[in-house]
Amino acid sequence: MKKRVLITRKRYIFLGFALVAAAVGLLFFDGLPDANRLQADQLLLKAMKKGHYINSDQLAEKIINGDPSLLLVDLRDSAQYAHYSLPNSMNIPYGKILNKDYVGYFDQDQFKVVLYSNDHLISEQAWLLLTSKNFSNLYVLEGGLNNFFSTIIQPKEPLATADRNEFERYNTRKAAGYYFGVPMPRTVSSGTSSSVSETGGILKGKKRKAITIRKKKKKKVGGC
Amino acid sequence: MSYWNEDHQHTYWNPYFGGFMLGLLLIFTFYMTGRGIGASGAMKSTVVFALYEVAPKHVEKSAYYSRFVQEDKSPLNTWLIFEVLGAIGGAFLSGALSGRAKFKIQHSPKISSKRRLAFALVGGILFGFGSQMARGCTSGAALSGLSVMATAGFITMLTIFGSGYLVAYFFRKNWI
Amino acid sequence: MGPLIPHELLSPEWNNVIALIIGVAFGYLMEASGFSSSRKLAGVFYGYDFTVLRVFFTAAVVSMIGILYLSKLGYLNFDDLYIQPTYVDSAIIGGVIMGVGFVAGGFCPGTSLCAAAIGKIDGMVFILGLMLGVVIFSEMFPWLEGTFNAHNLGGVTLEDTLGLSNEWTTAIFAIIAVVAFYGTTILGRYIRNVWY
Repeated sequence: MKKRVLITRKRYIFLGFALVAAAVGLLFFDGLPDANRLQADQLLLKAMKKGHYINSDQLAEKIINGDPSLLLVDLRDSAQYAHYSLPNSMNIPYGKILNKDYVGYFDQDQFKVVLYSNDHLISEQAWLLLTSKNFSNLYVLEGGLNNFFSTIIQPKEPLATADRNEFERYNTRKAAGYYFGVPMPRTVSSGTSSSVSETGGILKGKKRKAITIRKKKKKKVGGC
Repeated sequence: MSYWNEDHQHTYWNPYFGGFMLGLLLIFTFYMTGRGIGASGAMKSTVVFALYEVAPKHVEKSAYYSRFVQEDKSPLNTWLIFEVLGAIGGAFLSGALSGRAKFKIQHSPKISSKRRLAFALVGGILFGFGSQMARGCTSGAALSGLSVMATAGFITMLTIFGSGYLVAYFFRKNWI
Repeated sequence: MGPLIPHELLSPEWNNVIALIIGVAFGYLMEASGFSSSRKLAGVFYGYDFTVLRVFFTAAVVSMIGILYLSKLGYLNFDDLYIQPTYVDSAIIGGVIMGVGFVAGGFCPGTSLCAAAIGKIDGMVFILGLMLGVVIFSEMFPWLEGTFNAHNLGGVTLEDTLGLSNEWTTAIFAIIAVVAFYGTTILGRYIRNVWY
C-alpha cells in the first residue's frame, strides 16, 4: 500500500510542477506581436485611399452646423492646447494616444474622430498608428491648424481677376471665421483684443468637455 | 482516473482530473459565449416565473423582480436555465452510469433523516438569500469570476469559505 | 477571434444550444467528481475530504491559465469577457451568509442540482430552500436595496484593484494551489478517518 502511494506521489509532483510552470510561463510570454493588428498591406490600402482626410472648409462647416457625431482631438501638448484650440475639442497629446485611458475614444463606432495638430504630419502618424490597431472612424485634418488658420480664420483675399467661385469661397470662409471668434469689423476699431468677440467668443475659453463615450462597444451579458 | 470497487459501483474520478476537465470546460464556455457558468440565476428565474403565474401584479410592482420580467420573453428563457437543464441531465447520466442513482437521504449515521432535511432546508434558504445578495454562487461568482480575475469573484470565494470554516464548529454534529 | 458569440462569429441562436451542451458536461463532471454527495462537500470544512479544494482550485487555475494564454495568442479578446461588477458590501455580506448556508446544508446551487438529479432528497429540499431564500430576499428587498447597491466598483479585475497584473495573479494562485494540495494531502494522513 505504501509503495503505491509513493508512486502516485511522484506523478502528482510532476503534474504540480507542470501547472506552476505553465502559470509562470505566462509571466514571460508576451504574446504574438500581430495578434490584434491590421496587417501592413491592409493598412497601406487604407492609407492610399485617402478617404480619411477632411479639409478645413468641410470641418468648419461641420463645426458650425453642430454635427453631433464629431469628436475633435487635438494632438499637441497641453500648453499649446490651452493657448488656442478648436471649440469643443479634447486634448490627447500625441505621445499618449495609445494610453489605456484614451482607448475608449478611439475604439468606438459612435463618433467620427478628427485628429489634428499644427500641420498634418503628426496627425497622419497618429492616424496610421491607431488604424493599425483596427480602429475606424478616424480622420485627419488636412494641413492641420496652420492650414485652418490660413483658410478660415485669415482667408486670403482673392485677386480681382479670380473667378466667382473663389469669391464665394472667400466669403464663406470669412463668415465661418466669425463663428470661430474672428472679430467683426466694427469691434476691431474699439481696440479690444481678439479673445472675445460679438459672435460669442468661441476662440478662447469655454471649451466644453467632450461627451463621455461608452467605453465598450458591446453590451456584455453574463453572471449568475 | 476512476475505477470499479468491489460491489461494482463506479467510484468517483480523481479530483485533479475532474478539476482539470472543469477548467477546460470553463475555457470552452468563455471562448464560446464570453461568460462563465452559473447556477443560482436559474433558481431566481424559476422563482420569478412561478410567482408571475400566481401573482403577476405583485411581481411587476416588486422592486426586485420587476427587473427580470420582460414583455415578450418568458423569464425562463435565459442562458442559465438551459445550462441548468443540461446539468440535471448530465448529472443524472453520470449517476445512472455509475450506479449511484437512487432515492435516498444522505446523512451522517449520528443524526436522523429529519434533522438532515431540516438543515438542508435552512441551508438552502440562507444560501438562496446570500446568493441573491452577492449576485452569484460558488460556481457563478466564485469560479467563473476567478477565471477572469474579477475582484468580486475573489471576495465572494474568500468570504464563503472563510465563513464556512468559522461556523463549521457549530455544525460538526451533522457531519462528523 | 473569440469569444465567438459576442463577436457574432457564431449565430446568437446557438447560444441556448451551447448552454445545454455545456450544462450537460458540467453536470456530468460535477457528479463524477463526487459533488453530488453532501458529506463529501462538507468534508473540506472538517478535514476528512478535500475534494472540493482540489477540484475548485484546479479548475480555477487551469481556466485562468487557459484564458490568458488564449488571449495572448490572439484567439480570445479578454476585454469582451463578462467580468461581474464588484459591489463590495453585498459581496462580503452575501458571502458570509452563503458560507453558513453551505455548512448547514452541505450544498451549493450547482452541486444541489447534481444531487437532486440522482435522487438525493436532501438535494431537492436544498433547492426548495434556495427558492424560498430568493423569495425572502425579494420581499425584503426595499430594506436591503441600499446595501445591495453600495460601493459599485464596476467590472474590475484584480489588476485594477490591487495593481497586480493578471499574469502574476495566476502564477501566485497556481503556487498557492499546489502548496494547498500538497499540504492537505499530508494533513489527510493525520486526521482520523470518517466513513461516509
